[in-house]
Amino acid sequence: MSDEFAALREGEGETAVSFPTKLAIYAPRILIGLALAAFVGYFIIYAVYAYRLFQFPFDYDQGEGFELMDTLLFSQGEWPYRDNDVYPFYSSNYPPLFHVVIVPLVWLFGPQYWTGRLISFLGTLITAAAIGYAVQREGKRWWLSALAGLAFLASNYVYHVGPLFRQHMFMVMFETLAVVLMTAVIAREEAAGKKLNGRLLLVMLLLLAAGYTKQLAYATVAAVFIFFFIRQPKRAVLWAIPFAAVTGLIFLWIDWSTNGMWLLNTVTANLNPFIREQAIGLFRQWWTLHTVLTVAALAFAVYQLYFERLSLYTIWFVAALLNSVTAGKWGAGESYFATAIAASCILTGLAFHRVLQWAEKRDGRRPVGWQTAVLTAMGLLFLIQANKMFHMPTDVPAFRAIAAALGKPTEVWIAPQTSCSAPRDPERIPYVDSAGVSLLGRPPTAADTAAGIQIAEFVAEGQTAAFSEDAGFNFYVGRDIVTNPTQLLNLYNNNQVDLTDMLAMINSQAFDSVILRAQFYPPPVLDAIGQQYETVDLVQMNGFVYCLMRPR
Amino acid sequence: MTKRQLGLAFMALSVLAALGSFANDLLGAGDFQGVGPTQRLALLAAGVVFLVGVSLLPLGDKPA
Repeated sequence: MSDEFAALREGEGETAVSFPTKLAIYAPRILIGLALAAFVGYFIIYAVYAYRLFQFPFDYDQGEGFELMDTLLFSQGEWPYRDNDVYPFYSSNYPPLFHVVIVPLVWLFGPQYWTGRLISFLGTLITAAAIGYAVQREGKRWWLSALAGLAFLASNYVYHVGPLFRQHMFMVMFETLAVVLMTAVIAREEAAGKKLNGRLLLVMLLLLAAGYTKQLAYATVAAVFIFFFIRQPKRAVLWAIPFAAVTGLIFLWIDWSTNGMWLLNTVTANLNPFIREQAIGLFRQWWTLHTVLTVAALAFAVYQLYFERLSLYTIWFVAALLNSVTAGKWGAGESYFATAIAASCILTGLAFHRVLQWAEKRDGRRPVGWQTAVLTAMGLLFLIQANKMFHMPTDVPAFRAIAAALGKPTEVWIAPQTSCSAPRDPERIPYVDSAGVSLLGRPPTAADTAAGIQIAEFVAEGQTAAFSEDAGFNFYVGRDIVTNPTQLLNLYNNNQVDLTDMLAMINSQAFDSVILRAQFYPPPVLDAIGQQYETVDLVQMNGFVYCLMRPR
Repeated sequence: MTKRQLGLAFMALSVLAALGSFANDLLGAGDFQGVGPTQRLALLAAGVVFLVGVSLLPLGDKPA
């Protein structure tokens, strides 16, 4: 048991303890206990959502199937960075590591969606454990460390994307491990007065892994080297040179191996327009959902800036926060805040630990005093944070009862999204989320699986692969995966793709079926589809209306 | 590195950022005459960073 609770317990032994004193002794325990229960509850909700996603054999998020395709290509010894001008007009726009890690599972079980979802989910658990470790290293309070780690998993954004077949959270895992290890290595070096180059090499490998999981990790790389430079300028430069050289050589090797398709698809095609309103909206939402964590982190960052040495966690938080502006890019979204959230969880834990340390010094062995006040405030603050993050699938009776007992709505009414049919009336959705109307987070149902199978059977009725915005239907019936609409649009917007062959195939009705969900294809492709194909059926899956089309 | 050096670094970076936002105009980018909304935000942020830099100068040789 932590010191502060031991001090409070000693107070219980005293005779003739008044009710206010008893209340002051028990209130912090109750509040911290309730906060732990709330965040453990969120973890259970997260695990239930993940388990139900593992069972869903189609795309839940539009890009998942293409990441599965990347993994499949790697499992066959091929690069996914390919020429988009020729059939099947497919290329990846992401670095390779996440997909390479999943390859053994694809060898064993085939191209299954659960493989990448499981790895991404496990990655978030490792990130949470690393956050907890970072707080425990300094704070030595298991409950505070647990709350910091669980708060990360309870974030609406982490919940939404953590168990998806997307590489983003795997990058956050490498980033967090690198930052926590770097902090520990420098602290140990400064304490022992000797250099630990082997461990520093491991930090560099983790940073390299983060960058080759997703490009966005550059902000964390910058944070680590800024911290290193502030503490040991000469050594930082000496490490930065080989790090940059190795990163660059790997980059050049992949680009050479793919005849320039790596540079084209992972860099050029990612130069998307910046939508200012999207960035502002996401920043507002992030702030509203994570207010306590963010205020605590900012306060601790300002304290460190003026009153002690800057920690890597503070520099990381600021760098990640600045980098979150890129969430305003077309195609980006809430997940771009995940690194800042991880950093804020660590800083919140450390800030609360410091305040508790201060209270302990002020109180000495007094059973009731500053410690009581601080612990009570912490319990309340974590509960406020838990309330702000509220999200719960209410098709589980126990969850529904909890939501009702907490005075939360037990369902919301949302109209299915459609891009290719008449608008539909709002429907009852058994999922509530303080992030607002969210297409992510609601666990897929048996009806969604049945809808996916219906679409796959529609594809199977034809002889060819479908020209489909989701890859899942072609995967389900063993057909080719034809193009990636968002990647194609990125390349088209950057004038980097020749659509001649694709348009010729569409105009000659070479595909027996076309499946539209959001009409992300470039305008000439949509025009050709509109002229050559007609909608014959509409199927709703995961809150989207899919338009099933046949040649006219 | 000291707090004073960190403050100077902040000030230098903020000046570079402000100049960078105007360099955008020289390259012909941007849809607005004069100072656009995004440019205004960038200048505001650069101003804040500059002031933070200035506030670190009195902390002198304390380690950053």
